Amino acid sequence: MYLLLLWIAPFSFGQTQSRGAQPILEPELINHLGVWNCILYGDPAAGDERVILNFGPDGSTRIARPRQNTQQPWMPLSRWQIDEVWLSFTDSRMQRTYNADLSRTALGGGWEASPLIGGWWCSEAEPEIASKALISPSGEPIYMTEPLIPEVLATPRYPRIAIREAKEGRAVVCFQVDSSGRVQDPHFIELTDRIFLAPTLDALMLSNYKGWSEDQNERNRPACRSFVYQLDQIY
Amino acid sequence: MGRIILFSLIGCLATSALWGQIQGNNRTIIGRGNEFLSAGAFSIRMGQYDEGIRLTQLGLTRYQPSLDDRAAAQSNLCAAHAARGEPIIAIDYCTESIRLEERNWRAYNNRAYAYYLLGRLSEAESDLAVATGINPDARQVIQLRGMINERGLRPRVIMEDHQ
Repeated sequence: MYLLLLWIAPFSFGQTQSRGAQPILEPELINHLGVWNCILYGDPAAGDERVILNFGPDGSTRIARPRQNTQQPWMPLSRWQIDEVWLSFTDSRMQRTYNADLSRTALGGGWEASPLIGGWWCSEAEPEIASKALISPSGEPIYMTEPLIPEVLATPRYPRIAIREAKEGRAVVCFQVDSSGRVQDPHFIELTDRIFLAPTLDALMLSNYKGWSEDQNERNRPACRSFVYQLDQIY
Repeated sequence: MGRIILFSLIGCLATSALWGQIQGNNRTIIGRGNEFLSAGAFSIRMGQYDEGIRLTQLGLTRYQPSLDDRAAAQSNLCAAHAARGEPIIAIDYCTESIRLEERNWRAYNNRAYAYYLLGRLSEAESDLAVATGINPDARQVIQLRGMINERGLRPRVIMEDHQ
């Protein structure tokens, strides 16, 4: 199946300037340094995993897998590297190579461990998690272990033209959830056919999660949702 | 929707060059050949199904049409009966047309529509597959495919959260 990957990147002015007097602006890249709450998805055996990633200024990458009531130490990954706008690092234990386009507005990308492929998606975490996950004997921050609870789950309408043309497909959207449970900043990670873009986005933006705090300054949490559009023959 | 498919079916009428048009010396002469078949096709195209059926029947009985013309006439009778909401009668005409000329995509398409009207979607799909194999780009084939899909495919969307 032909797969269309949509990377929604911020508009770049840099390469279109033709007169020397005008400044050439580089595309703004995400600063990936620090601690991130992340979702790893796409592995049929492991399922969705919530992890904490830490990118150090010395080139180090660490991962922690929080689980309730158990202390999870940081595990070292390969050193991170940047090639133009691409961040990459590897997890030798899982045989996975991760990459991310830093010109996007959120940190996330894909991973590959032949023949498997998947994705990852992050939101910024409190910096103190870095030390907590490392030394706290009681485990991990509570908001990492409590799942997001959907409060309104809107179902997309199947486009009529897609039914007429017998089109099936899949969309994966990653986004941020704010502390009041609202969906923000959706990014299409996978979209097999543009015909499914509008209904997917409409349904997602009509959905929301149970809020976990009234504090507007609470950090957003990352989430992804996949939509599989299927047609069943009834004759 | 019914009106749309009606126009589509009428578009499926076979208009053999022998009935109405003989092209030679850059001239087009209307009315040569089997005039009844030609007039019948025109009437059906205009939505005058009873008259179209009568004229086509006359064209089949008064003259000795060629095999191709007979196949086309049977297909037209099929289209007219289907358009009149008589799919069972239509199917017999289409089947006869296919027996005479097995590469007649219009007859397969017309019979698929007749099956569709009867709710026999599996048979409609089967005939449409043959029509598609012969003429995949025909507008009428694509249109009927959409109608069969709309009635015969149940959509569902499976959502899964990753967090």
